Amino acid sequence: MSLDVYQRLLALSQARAVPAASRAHRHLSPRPWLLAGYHLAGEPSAPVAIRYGSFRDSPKLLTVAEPRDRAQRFAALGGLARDLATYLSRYTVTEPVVRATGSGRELDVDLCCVDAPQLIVPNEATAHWVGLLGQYLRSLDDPVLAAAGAHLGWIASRRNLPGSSVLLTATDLLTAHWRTGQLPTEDGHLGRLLAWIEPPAGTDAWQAARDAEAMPPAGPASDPAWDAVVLRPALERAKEQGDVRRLKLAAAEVLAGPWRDTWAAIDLVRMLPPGEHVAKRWESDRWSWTRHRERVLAGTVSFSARLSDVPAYRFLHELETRTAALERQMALDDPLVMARYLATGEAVAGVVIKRDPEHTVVNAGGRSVLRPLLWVRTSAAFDRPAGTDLWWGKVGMVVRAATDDTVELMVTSGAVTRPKLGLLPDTDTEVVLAPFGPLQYFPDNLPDELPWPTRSSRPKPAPEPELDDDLDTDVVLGTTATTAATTAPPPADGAAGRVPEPRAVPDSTVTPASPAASGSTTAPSGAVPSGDSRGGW
Amino acid sequence: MTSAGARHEAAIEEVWNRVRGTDRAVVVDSPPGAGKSTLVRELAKRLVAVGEHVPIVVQTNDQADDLVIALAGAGLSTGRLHGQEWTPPAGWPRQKVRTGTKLGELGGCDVIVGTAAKWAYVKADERTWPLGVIDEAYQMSAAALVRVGHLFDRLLLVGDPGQLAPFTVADEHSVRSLATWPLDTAAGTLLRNHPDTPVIPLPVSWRLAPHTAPVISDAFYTRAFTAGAAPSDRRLELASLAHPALAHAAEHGWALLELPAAHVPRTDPALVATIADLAHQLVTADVSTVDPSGPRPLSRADVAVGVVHRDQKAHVEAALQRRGVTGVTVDTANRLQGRQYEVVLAWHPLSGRRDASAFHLEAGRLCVLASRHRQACVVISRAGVDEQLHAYPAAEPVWLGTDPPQVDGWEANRAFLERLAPHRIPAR
Repeated sequence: MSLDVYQRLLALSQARAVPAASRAHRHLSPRPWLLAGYHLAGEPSAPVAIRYGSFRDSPKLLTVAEPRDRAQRFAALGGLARDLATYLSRYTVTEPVVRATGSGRELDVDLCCVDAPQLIVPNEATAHWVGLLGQYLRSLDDPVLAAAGAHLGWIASRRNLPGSSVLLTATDLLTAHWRTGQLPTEDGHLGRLLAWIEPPAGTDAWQAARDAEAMPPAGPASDPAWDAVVLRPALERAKEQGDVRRLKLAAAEVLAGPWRDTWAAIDLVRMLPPGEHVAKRWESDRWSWTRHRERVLAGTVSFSARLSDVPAYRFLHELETRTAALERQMALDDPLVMARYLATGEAVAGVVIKRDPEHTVVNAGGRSVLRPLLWVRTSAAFDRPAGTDLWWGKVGMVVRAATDDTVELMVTSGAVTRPKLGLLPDTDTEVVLAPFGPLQYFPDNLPDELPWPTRSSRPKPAPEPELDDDLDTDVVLGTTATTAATTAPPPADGAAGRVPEPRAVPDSTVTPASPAASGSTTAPSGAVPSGDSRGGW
Repeated sequence: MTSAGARHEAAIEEVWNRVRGTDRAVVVDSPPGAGKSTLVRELAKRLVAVGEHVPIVVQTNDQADDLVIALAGAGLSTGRLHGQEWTPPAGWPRQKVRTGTKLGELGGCDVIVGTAAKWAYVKADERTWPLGVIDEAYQMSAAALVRVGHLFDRLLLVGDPGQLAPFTVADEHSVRSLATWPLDTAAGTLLRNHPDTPVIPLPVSWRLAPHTAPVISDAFYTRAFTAGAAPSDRRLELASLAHPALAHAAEHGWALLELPAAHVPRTDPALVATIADLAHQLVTADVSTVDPSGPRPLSRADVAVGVVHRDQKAHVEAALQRRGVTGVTVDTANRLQGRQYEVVLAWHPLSGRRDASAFHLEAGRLCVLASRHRQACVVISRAGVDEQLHAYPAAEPVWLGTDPPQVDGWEANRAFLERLAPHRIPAR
């Protein structure tokens, strides 16, 4: 049975969301930077109003009287860029961290930023918009805007990596921890989602959700009726009479909703104790931020819209390891997440009723080896076949037989030597046997360059891109991050605060630098950072 | 020699000439049971005879074990490169075989067999080979090829283009935005990068029976093939069986056993019970399988249950254990690739579903499930798959930088179902 389906039905019958997690599975910075805004209808590159900042009660407000005028638009975005730079400058302190290198056995000391910035936006569409803003800001001549673009590009690129908390959306924060009784697509509406989780006293979730839908949307697309009735007269007044007061007032009023809702989502998740592995995953974000800063200082930041060659394969490896690690870590951190595996029958819970620590079997080499036996009484029949692998922490075991209320298990790893027998659970211990074992170490064994079968036999026009050094995981952190340390150009001495040389790009260019980026409308962010240093940053 | 045999021999000779020629890579397209394993064994023998050392890359440990047993049986001194947790299967040869987790432990072996995942840890500065053989090259991903390609100066890739495409646990959407497509098949990547590579098709399936081969060829392959066996060669004799689906399949090669239409969870208990009952009947009743080598009783190892998801596998296995049936293979399509059984009970990927997702529509999945048998295949499904297919016309996006699949999954599913319509048996 699927616990997810059950929880959705439960939420439906109670007309109120039910918890899907008992731990916070996203890192929440003590001081995140929030951003909510609108662009002109149909023109994502023309921001009308953006509310941003780290302080709930004193947000900054950016408005553009004529967003289609590049001068006005970039003048306004210049303010945002400077404020972003100020915020990011808080995260420059480093500390020495001991980490594994090479094959993972040697240790080395490297400097890592003690904390990293965090951007939180109301919804997926705004997260996508942030990437888009970064994409065209970083191609500008203005050094402040270009630097902001590079930072936003890095922030947006982390969004593709499971387990990263650099760029969070309020809707994801909530759907990761609660289940509603509405359709998953309806969960994409921040107001509706909050209404399900915390409906105002006296209203049920459906009514609260309907009320929320009547409120201004969380952006970045605005409400057409508001466009016609409020925005248009305000823009005309600003343009014709130079009076922006009405525009500012309208923008502040309409963006107050998404701003409040995003903070409300943060408050809700903050009430949950953080999962044990969250800090470990955040450390991977800190390393990535450290490397990004080094590249900014060295002037080597670069983005390619689509990865190719070895970085593409490395990215896949990164995604696969992170996906598996996140699933495993969340289940081990949180009983309510583990309950999903109990519900499907992949995990089993019960009480140890009998042990035989002296049990031995004869292995393939003819030697007699210790393989203790455990009997676990379960409340429901365990319906997986004999031979299924299960783990209790580091103790691995295999199911030998199962009846309606008892599972017989043979320990196969973690406690199969006499000194380690103490690690076995005692009789009468309550145990949850999980389908996840200890983290396995799979180094990324990719070659430095593509071998001939996967390289075109036709002559190649452009040189091979350099290694992508931004991809690191909490799993293979040691190896890849060390690669990063050796391949990333060292920060130039005394170059602190230097911003990258802007690229010479014609003024009208708002499309991504790489022609390939416009090729696929399904490309997620259109900006994956790579070490590709072409383009003369 | 029959004409099928002659065509097969000609294809083998062409492969051998190409391997001894100057092409940097050679691809052999092999439909199910077209003698791919025999070809690999034969070529390994010939290469060793002319003094070459032959490294062979396979995709799963089961495939590696099967191949090593076959090669050792052919008298070749064979090394099995394996991981830490590998244990030798039953019937592991004592002669001619060495095993080891490191290349250094396999000194003196003429042929070395290992999975792609294991070969990826061999360093090119340790040793390289003039020619490498990749088995199941359509099951292997480009990402795996990248990790082993530098070990070999030339490559022979052998595989079945009707296999499952490589897959990932990661969100495929993120990967699809890459200019290089790491989940392309190894053979596909090689052909894309080296378009002059010769592709030699094997024209005859020796596994599939004459009455089941045309269905597979028509629904799932762009290069048509025929069965090598004559209609009178094979027979499944059921002396005392009760179930009409098994009786029908014994006679016609196919049966489509349909349970009443319903939208059900993935681990449909009724389907699990039906499959377990059928398997139980097959292994307990008096069944013999007849081919030109003579009749013999159907053993448990001759029967396989093919499923779609791992939880279905777990439920069917547990149901079989409750009925006291052991030794019958139950596995997902992914892991049944390259294997062969006398009778296969296949869980239809679209059974009981509300939608038809790309995963469940994939041509390779159904093709693998429907082409593992020598005698008969019983497809078990909820009714209504036809309506479901027509409610979900193919809507897969076309991705830039990748080749569209040769066979469309939706159309393959529809064609297969149409060919099975005369074999439809409603469940009692």
